Amino acid sequence: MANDREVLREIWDGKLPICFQLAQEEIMEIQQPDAFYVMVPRLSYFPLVTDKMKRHFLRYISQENSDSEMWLDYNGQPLKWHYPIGFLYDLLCGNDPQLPWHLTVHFTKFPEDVLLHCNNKDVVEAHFMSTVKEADVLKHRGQVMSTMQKKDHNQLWLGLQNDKFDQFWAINRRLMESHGDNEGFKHIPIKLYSDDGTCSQRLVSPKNNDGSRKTLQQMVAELYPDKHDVQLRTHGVIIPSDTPLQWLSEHMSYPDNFLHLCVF
Amino acid sequence: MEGGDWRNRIISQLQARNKYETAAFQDLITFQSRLFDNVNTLKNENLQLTLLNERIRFTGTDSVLSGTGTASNERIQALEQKILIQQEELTSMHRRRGENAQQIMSLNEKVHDLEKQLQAKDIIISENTAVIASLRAEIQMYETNMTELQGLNQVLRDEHQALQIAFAAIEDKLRKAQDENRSLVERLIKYKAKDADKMNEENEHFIKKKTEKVRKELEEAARESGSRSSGSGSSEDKILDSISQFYGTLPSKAALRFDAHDGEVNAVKWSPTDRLVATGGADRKVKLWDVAKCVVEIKGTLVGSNAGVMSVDFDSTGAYIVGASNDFASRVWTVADQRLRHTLTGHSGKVMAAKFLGEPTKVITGSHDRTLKIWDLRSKMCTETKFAGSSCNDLVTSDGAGSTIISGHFDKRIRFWDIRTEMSANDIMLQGKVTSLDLSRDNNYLLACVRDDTIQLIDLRMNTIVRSFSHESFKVGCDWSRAAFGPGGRLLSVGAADGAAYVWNTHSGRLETILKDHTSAVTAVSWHPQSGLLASVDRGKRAIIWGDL
Amino acid sequence: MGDEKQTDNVPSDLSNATESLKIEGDQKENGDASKSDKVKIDILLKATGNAPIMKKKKWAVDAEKPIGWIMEFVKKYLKLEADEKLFLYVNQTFAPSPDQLVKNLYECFGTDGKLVLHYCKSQAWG
Repeated sequence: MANDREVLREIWDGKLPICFQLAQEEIMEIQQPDAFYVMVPRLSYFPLVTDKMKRHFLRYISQENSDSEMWLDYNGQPLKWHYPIGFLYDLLCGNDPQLPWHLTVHFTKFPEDVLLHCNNKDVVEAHFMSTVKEADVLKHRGQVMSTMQKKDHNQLWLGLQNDKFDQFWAINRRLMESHGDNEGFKHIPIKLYSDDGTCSQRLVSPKNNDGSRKTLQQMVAELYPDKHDVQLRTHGVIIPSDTPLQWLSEHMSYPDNFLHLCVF
Repeated sequence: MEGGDWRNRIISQLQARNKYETAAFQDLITFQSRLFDNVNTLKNENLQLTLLNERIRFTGTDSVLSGTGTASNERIQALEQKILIQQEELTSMHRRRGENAQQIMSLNEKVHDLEKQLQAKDIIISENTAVIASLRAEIQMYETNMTELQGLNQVLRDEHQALQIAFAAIEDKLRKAQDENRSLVERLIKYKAKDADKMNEENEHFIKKKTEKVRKELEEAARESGSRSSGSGSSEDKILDSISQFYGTLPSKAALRFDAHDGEVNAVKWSPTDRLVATGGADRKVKLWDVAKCVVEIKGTLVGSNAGVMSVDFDSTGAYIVGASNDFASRVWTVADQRLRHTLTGHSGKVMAAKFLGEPTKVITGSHDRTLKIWDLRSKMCTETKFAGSSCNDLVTSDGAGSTIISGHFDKRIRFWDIRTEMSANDIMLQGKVTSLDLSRDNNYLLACVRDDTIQLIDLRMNTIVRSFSHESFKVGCDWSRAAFGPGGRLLSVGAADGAAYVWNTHSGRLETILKDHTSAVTAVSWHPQSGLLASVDRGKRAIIWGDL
Repeated sequence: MGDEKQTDNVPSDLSNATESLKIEGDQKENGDASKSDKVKIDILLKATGNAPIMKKKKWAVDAEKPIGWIMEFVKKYLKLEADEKLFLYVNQTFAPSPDQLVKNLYECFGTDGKLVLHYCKSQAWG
């Protein structure tokens, strides 16, 4: 039960300042375009927040590219749009925060082998809902999502898209309930990223073998028996090692119900 | 709400984060975006104004706002505009006219083509109608033909039916006639039998009388002086002879004498039924004489032969008579109306003898061309030819069916033929030419008159000569001199060169009597089958009937 | 990573058969286990809806390959047109992100030693 409202609110209100700049080689006008500054929610996805910016930069690129797909990069690294914005920032600049976050906007040479295509917001919604279902499978064997109606799914997405905390959490708290008679989920939906971006996903139970609540430290010991001093960051904060996994998953998952943790 | 140090740490970290990341920049960026938007809107307005400016400058007026001095210009402009429009319309009209002309031409062509097609189709149609008409006419013709044929068919069918009915009726009649015939024949047979019986009775009676007489005489004779032997046989023989004498009714005197023909008379035959005798002569005629009453009446003359008639024969019923002639043909007449019925030509030599074979539908002829021919009178054709190898002088048929034929030939042979075979089954060699043959009534004995002046009696069962008859004064007159058995078979007679008819007893071999009355050689003799009358004819046109009439 | 899988008894080897489809994913191994042999995961592909059934359903996939690579492979195998889409589903519930690694999915959702994937030419489970 995710009832620590204060934590949920703090996490929800997180925003990042982004400075978008058009790639130099794509500028076709004589006049240099102004950089576009905008505050974007940490929990959102790039395709949801870039409409205005795109309109602004479209004027300055050659006409033939006006229909091609836009993509972003930070320091030459193409940004995967299907990762939440806050998580991308933590992954790429977590150790070395620099604000505003300077990103370059491209309209040509789409890096096919790195990025997925995102033609419209429906693609983002499909990805989001799929991830939520995946998390539900791990947590409740998929029972909660399957018992929910389509309008509930829609409300979930709309709440996220329109930045409506109450709308979103009205539905999401059902996904944070325990599974059956047990206290807690069946498994914790968790994605662990190393600093080169490789993701690994493991089956992690919120309980130890003796039935006690597993803490972060215990999980780390399970997953990385050889490493020491492993620290995990999410939402821009470093998680204390004695945090219970169940609480962590309930309160600090991203809207897609997954914990995205950067390992460093 | 769970507590714990970790929660506090998390909360504080989050708050710090938010302060650092969000709060610091929120206002700045908000202002920036507002400015940005303003700039954009201003830019857009600017752009629009410049565009307007450009447009106004292009159209050549100083300011958009002052509209007074431009009224006439506007009118001019409007008029110019109108002219432009009209010109455009004109060009488009011209173009359209050109297109229409084009269309008209193509349509004309089409019309032309269609007309041609139409013409062609018309021609085809007319041809077709013509064909149809002709076909119809044909159909009509066929129909009429068919009705005609049907009519004909019907007629034929009707005729056929009528014919069938007639046929049925005639068949009935035939059947009836056949039945009648059969019944008549039966009756006839019955009558004949009756007659025969009567005759037999008569004869018996006669014999009885005679025997009585003889007994009486014998008694007288015996009474008189022992026995007077004549030396010519035993008493039995004598008795037999006497009996036979009377039985045979040996003719002793000539009852009738008449001239039969204008030339040699070659053949004589009694009719088996009534007292009719037929004679055939060198005058090519066959004459029928009736001796029923004590005078001889010529019954009829059968003409038709082109040369002398060598032999005549009656059929078993006495209705037909066949005459063998020297013109290589034989002829069959009906006795009743004396009409020539058949002429049997085919021989290449004189036909010496012709006899009916059993039923009066077959005739066998023997000829000098060394063949015997069997003729079927219904088909009037020669059905068989037997090659004898020597001229046939006479022939007899053995039994009623005629299955065995015996012929006497120039080469001194008597040949026996089975009617079915070609070759002679048997032959007997004699001492001289065979001039005539006769068969006894029981078909067991054959009489042959031979040119060596003898008569040979041949037993057919043993095929040997039983007896031979001769006399010092008996000489055979000609090559066709005919001998004949008497009615009982006990007597035989033959004509001699000296004009006498010699009569022998076949059993004893004794010459019974010599009947001399002819002046020339006797050519043929014939016994009446019942009454014992003997007819003889000679070379001097004469015919004599011997016996008691 | 505690357990590794070495499955050689599966007949077909995707990496050999379809060399033309190469997507350069992250080939770097995790620092924990560095074996020179490539780890393979058994995949079972099941057809859903009106999708054509593959003659060969069992495949062994290199663990480090992303799901998108399998999607491309199946598209080629089924000779789909370039504009036809292919959807892959895990647990008949969700569609994994194309850059999700096979080994992650197998870790979390594998059953009986293999990962069951349902494929469809149209959206099946949303």
